[in-house]
Amino acid sequence: MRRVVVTGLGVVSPIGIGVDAFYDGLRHARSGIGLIRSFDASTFPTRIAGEVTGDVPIPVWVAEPLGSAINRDRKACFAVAAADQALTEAFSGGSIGSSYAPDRIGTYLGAGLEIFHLDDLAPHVRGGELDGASLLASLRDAPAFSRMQIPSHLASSAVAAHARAEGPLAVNVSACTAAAQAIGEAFLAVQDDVLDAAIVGGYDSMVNPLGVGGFCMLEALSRANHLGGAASRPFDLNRDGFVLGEGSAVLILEELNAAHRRNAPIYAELLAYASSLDAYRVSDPDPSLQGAVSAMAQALARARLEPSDVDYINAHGTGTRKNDPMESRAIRRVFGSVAGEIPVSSTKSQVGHLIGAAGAVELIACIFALTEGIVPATINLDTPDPECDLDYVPKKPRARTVRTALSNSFGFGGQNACIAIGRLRG
Amino acid sequence: MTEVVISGIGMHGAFGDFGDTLDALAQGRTAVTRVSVDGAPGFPDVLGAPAGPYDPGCYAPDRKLVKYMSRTAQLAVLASGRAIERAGLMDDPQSRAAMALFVATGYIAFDLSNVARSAEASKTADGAFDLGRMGEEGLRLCHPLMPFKMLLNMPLGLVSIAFGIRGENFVLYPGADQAGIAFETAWRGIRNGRFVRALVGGCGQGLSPIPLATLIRQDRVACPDDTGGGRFPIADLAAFVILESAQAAEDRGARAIARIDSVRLARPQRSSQSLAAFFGGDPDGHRPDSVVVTGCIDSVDLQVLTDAAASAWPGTPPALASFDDRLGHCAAASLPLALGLAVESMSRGSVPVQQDLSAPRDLLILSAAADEALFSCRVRSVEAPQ
Repeated sequence: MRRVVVTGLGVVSPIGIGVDAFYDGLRHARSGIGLIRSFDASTFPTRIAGEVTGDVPIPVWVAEPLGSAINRDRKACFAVAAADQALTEAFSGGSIGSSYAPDRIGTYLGAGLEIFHLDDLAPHVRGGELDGASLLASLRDAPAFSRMQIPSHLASSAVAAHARAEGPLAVNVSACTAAAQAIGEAFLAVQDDVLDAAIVGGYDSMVNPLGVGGFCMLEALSRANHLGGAASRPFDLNRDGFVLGEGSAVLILEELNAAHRRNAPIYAELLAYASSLDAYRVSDPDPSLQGAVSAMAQALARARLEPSDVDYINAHGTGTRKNDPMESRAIRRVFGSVAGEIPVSSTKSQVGHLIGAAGAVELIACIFALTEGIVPATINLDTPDPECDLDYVPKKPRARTVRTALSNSFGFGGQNACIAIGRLRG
Repeated sequence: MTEVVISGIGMHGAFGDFGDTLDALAQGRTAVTRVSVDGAPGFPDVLGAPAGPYDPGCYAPDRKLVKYMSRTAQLAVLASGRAIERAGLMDDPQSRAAMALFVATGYIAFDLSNVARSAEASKTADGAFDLGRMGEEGLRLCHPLMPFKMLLNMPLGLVSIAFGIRGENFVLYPGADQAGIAFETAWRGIRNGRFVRALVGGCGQGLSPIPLATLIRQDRVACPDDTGGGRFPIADLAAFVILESAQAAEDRGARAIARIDSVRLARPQRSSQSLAAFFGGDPDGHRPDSVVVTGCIDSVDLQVLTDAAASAWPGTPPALASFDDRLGHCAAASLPLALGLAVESMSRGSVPVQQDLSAPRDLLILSAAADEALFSCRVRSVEAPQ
């Protein structure tokens, strides 16, 4: 069986741009959540989010015809910036294209929803009806992809083109599990000898009027606007929903021997991936726990790990009333008597829920735990919920040797994914 | 390596399921017609193939589930249900539960009646869009279930809920290459023993104003006054196939419809030379009875492929067959559609657009995507020698 390692990291997050800044944010339990600044949300029921602040450096290789669309779509900007970081770091002084045959390099990224600009549409709505002729006329002279509806895959295409990656270009849109599934499927493709290397991860920003408005309609978001940075409260008794975040994380995966041959930096080894479906309800987790349990149990089995081998679990931990107790019970069922001894934390408490990018950012948080020997905290956990009875690493990160970690991602619509990751074994 | 067979196929398009579609093609009918787009007065008519009438709730375990479904999701559930029935899995919940599910889907077809109302209510007296008004008034006018119809993973989620599918899964977006990746993942997963059965397919609703505007801007939509070609008639449809290990199909007494011997993905340059190399790289090399092509937009594309086939198999190159001009094109569903039609043709003993080809037993399916991705798979009748 071919082994797969992580050799490059890039991250754009609400607690920092770049891996060093992100790690610093985790180390100091910083919150990236505050009042929304990227648009005027003052009349929205939810006015807080985890936004990326500061300049996001757009790589020079982002060019037209995609450039103007990428610049108009925050998540796409985050994606190209994170990919540039990861590729530069993994291939300093060279390029992925000079290390591998182009058709053996895949691009597997999770992506958020299409950006839809209501302000572009509004001038063409009359009497509550769209004037199709007026709409098309307005689009005629605008650069392709730059207005109205910006497809979600453009950043993926730009990254693949830059890397000269001619293997599969997969755009995973599995909502909250998108990034985890993208990483997992690329891992399997390298393991199965279809690919030698892959650019993987996710990018998303739902921090826009339709995104925030849509989740408000679903009553999924926290409305604790007054709490600002303390509003994202996974596993806390007083949690009232999740807080949206935005950003991107990109990782470089390589087959172990190939990585060794080119003396690549190796951060971690991907050990296993599994996914499952609840097949229960559109918006509620399955109370039988079958889907979540299956994803974790299969990941453990495929990695040949015993429950006691796991030193840290990065929980999906959204902070919704339903998810957190469900996930806690599922962890108990899988890990049995050792469940209470494993630190479980939700980094969404710091960065919010990055939806299509969540699994990638959280996998990098696991790599932080493996390489730095620090388990990230669940900040804002002030009042334990009796229904959530695990060790959630409240408030402060904790020093601990972490050899193996699991990262959970559970999606709206019933998709579940789990990745097992560890230090490189001999 | 585990042998992989197709045990079920299902679709819903202009003519209905695969059988009806092949009947229509055999009669020389076309699904492509002039289409006026609903909900956007003034929008130009286009050439397209709208899905035929259907009951959106016919496979929903609870009809309340339908209210969460976009038209794309409805088509996905309908096509999946037909594939599951054809595979004989409808009365076998245990086998369905263990099944993997990989879906490709198209651009979001925003519900304009909701979005336009919201946009109107978000305007100030002088007609300018105002975010404050959107927060106060615009959101209130949207249907509370609208987000479910926008989320791109919902067709997959709803198929899983409708049929109790709990296995490995993902949903990709938005083009034909994504359906190829989904299919290759399913095939490889069975070959390598990760699972024994997968439902894989695609769905899309391109004949809606917002995705259509995107496609028109990409200059990819055929219009009634087109003279130059090079554009697609857009179709609303879904198509799914069930892949299964031959052993698993045999164990449950299912009839394998066809065998999948090889699957390849690549993104070569579109020249006859590189395409010939792509054809020639097919692991078993010998000439198929026919090449069923989807996703080629014009005669130039087809000529390149014809030349490539002639170069790869000199002497008597296989003919190329394409159904796109008569059934329309739905990128995310084009591969499972072509595959299903090829398989159904094989089981009937003729390919409707190729009158001269009798009893095809060995077909190469080739799906070409807009970004130059190519997918091919070799489908053989189960009786054909390996």
